[in-house]
Amino acid sequence: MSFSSLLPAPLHSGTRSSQNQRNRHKEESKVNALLKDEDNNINDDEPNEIDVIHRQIASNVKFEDFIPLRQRNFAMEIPLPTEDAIRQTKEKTLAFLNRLQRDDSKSSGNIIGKKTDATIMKIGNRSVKVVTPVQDPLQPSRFKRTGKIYTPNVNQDKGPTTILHDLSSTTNPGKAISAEERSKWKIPTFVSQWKNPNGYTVDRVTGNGEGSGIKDINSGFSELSEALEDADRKAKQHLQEKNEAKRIAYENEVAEKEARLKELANRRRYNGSHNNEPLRIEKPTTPSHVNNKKSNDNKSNGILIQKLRNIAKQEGRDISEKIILGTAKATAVPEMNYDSRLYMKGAQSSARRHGEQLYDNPLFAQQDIESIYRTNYNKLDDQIETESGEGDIMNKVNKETGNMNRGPIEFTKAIAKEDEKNKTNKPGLQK
Amino acid sequence: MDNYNSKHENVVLQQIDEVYRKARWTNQFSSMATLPKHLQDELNNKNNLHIGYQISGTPIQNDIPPTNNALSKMDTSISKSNGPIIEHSLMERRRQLLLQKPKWHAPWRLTKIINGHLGWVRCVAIDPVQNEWFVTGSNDTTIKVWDMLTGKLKITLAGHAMSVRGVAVSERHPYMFSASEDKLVKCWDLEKNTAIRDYYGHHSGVHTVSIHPTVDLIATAGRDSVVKLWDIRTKEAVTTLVGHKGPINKVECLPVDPQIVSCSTDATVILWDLVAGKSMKVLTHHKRNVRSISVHPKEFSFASASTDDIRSWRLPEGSLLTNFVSQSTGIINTLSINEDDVLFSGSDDGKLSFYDYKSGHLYQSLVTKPAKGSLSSERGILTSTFDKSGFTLITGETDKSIKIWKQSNTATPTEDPGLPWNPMSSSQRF
Repeated sequence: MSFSSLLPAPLHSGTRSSQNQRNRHKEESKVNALLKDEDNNINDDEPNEIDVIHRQIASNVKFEDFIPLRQRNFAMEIPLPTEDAIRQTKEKTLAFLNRLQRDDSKSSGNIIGKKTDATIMKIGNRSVKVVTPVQDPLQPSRFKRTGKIYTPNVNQDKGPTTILHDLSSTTNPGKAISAEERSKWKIPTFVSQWKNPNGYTVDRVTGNGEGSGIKDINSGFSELSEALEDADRKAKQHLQEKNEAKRIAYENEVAEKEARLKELANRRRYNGSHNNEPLRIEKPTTPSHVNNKKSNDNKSNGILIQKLRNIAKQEGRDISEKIILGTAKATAVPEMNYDSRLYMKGAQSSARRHGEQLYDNPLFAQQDIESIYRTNYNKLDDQIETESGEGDIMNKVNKETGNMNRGPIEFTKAIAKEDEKNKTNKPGLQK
Repeated sequence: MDNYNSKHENVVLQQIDEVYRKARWTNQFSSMATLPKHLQDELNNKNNLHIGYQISGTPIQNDIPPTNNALSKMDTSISKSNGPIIEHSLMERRRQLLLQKPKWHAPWRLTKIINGHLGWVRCVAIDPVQNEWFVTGSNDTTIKVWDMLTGKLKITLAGHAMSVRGVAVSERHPYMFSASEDKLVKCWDLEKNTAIRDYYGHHSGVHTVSIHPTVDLIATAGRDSVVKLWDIRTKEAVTTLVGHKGPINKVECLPVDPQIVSCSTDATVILWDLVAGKSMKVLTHHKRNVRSISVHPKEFSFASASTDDIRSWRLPEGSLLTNFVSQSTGIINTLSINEDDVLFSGSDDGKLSFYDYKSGHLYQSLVTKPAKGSLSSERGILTSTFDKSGFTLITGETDKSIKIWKQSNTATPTEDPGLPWNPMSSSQRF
């Protein structure tokens, strides 16, 4: 693969890699040349090529090279180049430029101020004579400017215009700036205070967030929020209606049931009156009624229970024992005895409570706080005197605390129980 | 009996000691027994010196032969390097630097503020023949010519479509050249006050222009990171010097090789061999964008500046002369050197720093005075030049003004000693 361009070959074209390899080979050979000694044998003692490079650098560079030259002597002279040197350089440069120009004109390209020969080209069966026009080296530029050129209003009488920021010298210098005008020129913080070389400005009406800055907000926002609110409201209403309907249905059901029961009872009553003796008790479950009965006499109570049971049996209703008994028994009214002191105490405490007082009364009001933990020697002496005949102090203390024997708890064998157990656990036929 | 026992014990102990020492040596220190090859070679070259030391100094024990030899050699080499010939010690070199006194210069002060441009003043050049006027180019696309003495506007030249980035006035022709961001370099006839030629060929904005001192050539460079040389008369690009990897900030022409020096945003300064059409030397010492270079008018050297780093270089070979005491200067936009060995650097934050060129001593540092009505952000110094006498400094600034600074006539070394001479050890860096 070959490329006519002078640019490096494309990355994956293959030519490049081979070239690289060649380059690497060349480098290696260079390094080998350095490594080889007189006999052309590669010296194995040399560790690597880096070492070689280091040594080369070390041999060429001295420590003084790393010190700035004027450190030791400020008055160090560095003469300007001599006239001779300047002249020689000039000649050399001019010669180079001439050569350059000659080469340029020779190899085409440069046509300025030079008459070039016509060339004859063959296109198809026609021959075309190509002549390059002669250019005037001093002709004005052929390149047209597109940029707008600023032309200052040069008025020599007025002198130079002063810079823009100088407010005193604007068109009407006498007029002072009002506060409103000044506020208009206030630069918002988001415009850089540091540098603004291109003079970017911000639309002051909308950018400041003042006045009608909000007018351009998209209506979609408000629509969305409205729609959400509406949906929420509807959902709530729906739920409410549903609940209401449920409640009404339940109530209806209950009422219906009640009515049916009533009707049933009525029918029963009329039917019953036809068959048996009329039912005397309208509300058998009313406790006061029964209570009165009960209080009247116990005898009739038992009869009543029997009667009720019969009625229930006849109607086919299953009345539990409890209800019947409940009718017979009065609910016990609890007789509570309150300690009147509690009432008194509560009243007292609430009366004198205020913010700083946490407790009703001091903890050690009756005792003298000073001597809670102090040994009362008199008392002790008395006690010792009274109990000295019975035993020593330790004994006494033990008695007081209840620990008669200090030390580990001793377990004793429960013999009787063990025997019992043995009896029960015994396999086989028991006696 | 007792005596014999103790004696025998001693011998045994010694033997044990010996064995222990040898074992410890091989385990712990044998890796250091041989020097690296290249150091060993160097030492072999200095063998005669070592022998002298051996004769006069203490005899070398031969118990552990290979090491002691090499190590003692190293000792001698180190002791030799501490000698007075080369100061390897940084502190010693700094001490020697402190012993020298930099030259005293009178302080500078602002004398005039000239308003008139409508944009940043990007470039300034002085009339090289009579020192009577100077010319400025601006972001407002105009070039203005000012009277040096009065500061009055002489003429406004319009013709560029974008900001004018470089101007140069020829010493040998009645011409002025201007480079602009609209990719054009224009040649102005100062007798007719009109543009007479366009140099057309840069692919992007042109940042700088310089006139060759002996041959009728101009060198221009810009954002397309090439230096182009133009024949002044025929408007032809003679050669294009390719090598920079970023936009070029400034180009200077010299009468002898290297005839072209350029500095670029790729943090390099390149000295070009014009005839060969390639770089003679690339100075890679700077770490950041090298925004400016300036050639000394009286000696064959130049200075270059990047952020917090000004260095001067000896020509023609381009070896480092001085590190200036410029640690906290910030971004440096412009450098100027006058005949009196004053180097001026103008910073992007409006700081003016004046250095003694030979020693690198910062003797005055001041902040520019804001022009009336300018914003606090407009404080940068973009361009500067000394006039031909060297007593006047002209700066072009971001507040759209031109400022003229003068050296005080009445100042004396005792009254105005300037900033103290206290170079940091970083001035020793390479």
